[in-house]
Amino acid sequence: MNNNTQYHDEEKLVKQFLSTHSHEPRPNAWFTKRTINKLPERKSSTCKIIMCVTTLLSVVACGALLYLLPYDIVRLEENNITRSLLSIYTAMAGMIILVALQVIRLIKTYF
Amino acid sequence: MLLDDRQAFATLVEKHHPSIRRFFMHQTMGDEMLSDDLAQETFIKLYYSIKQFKGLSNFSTYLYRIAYNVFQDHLRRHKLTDTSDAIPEGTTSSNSDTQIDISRALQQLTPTERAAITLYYIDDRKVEDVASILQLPSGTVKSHLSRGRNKLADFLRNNGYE
Repeated sequence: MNNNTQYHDEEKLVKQFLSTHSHEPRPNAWFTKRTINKLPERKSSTCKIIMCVTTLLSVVACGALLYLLPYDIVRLEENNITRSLLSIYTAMAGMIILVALQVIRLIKTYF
Repeated sequence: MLLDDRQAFATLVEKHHPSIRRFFMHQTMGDEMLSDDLAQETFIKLYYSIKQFKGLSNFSTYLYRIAYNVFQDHLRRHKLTDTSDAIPEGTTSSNSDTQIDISRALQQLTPTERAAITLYYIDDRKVEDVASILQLPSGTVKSHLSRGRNKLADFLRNNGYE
């Protein structure tokens, strides 16, 4: 009985004190905006689709060029095959490297 | 929220940040700047972990659990022990005497007791909710509440608050 009374007295005392003396944070109108600004950059799904389609088209274009161009060049320039072929292949190699880098960037950003 | 809706997240932050900041103010003995930093860290962690929320508990309970873990990380980072912390210098309040009193009162408690007491008495949560937030069994929470209540009652009586 005494323990119950003591418990109730302490409960009342603590409850009363905490309800009247608790901390109240000052209004902070900027809190939400500051928090949102700290979030990572938004990944737009439209950008993702455009990037994927563009990269895919580039890969297909590169593949087609690799297959079609050498035959045309060999037929047309019988005397300067080596130089033309070399320059074409160099340009194509450069393009393939750029497309490969783009594919890597796409995977890193969106997947 | 799952579709990265910033607007929805901003609404969530706007709704819950006062209570989360208040929670941290009681844990940090009235350090408003630190409370704001910890509250911000809580919401950023919430943003990253929202997909893991399966709706098994109340959302508020889930948010407070993150807040409590953020505070525990803060204690570990600053190598603060599970004993009473000093009242921060320059704690501002319009009613400085009563604020120092509550800070002095809360200083008597360990961080776990402080969290249990503030969640139970100030935020009006049930023991089960407090247990879920602190990730402790209900019996352990009741022990912390009992010890915390005794310490606070003794402090208040010794300082003439009856």
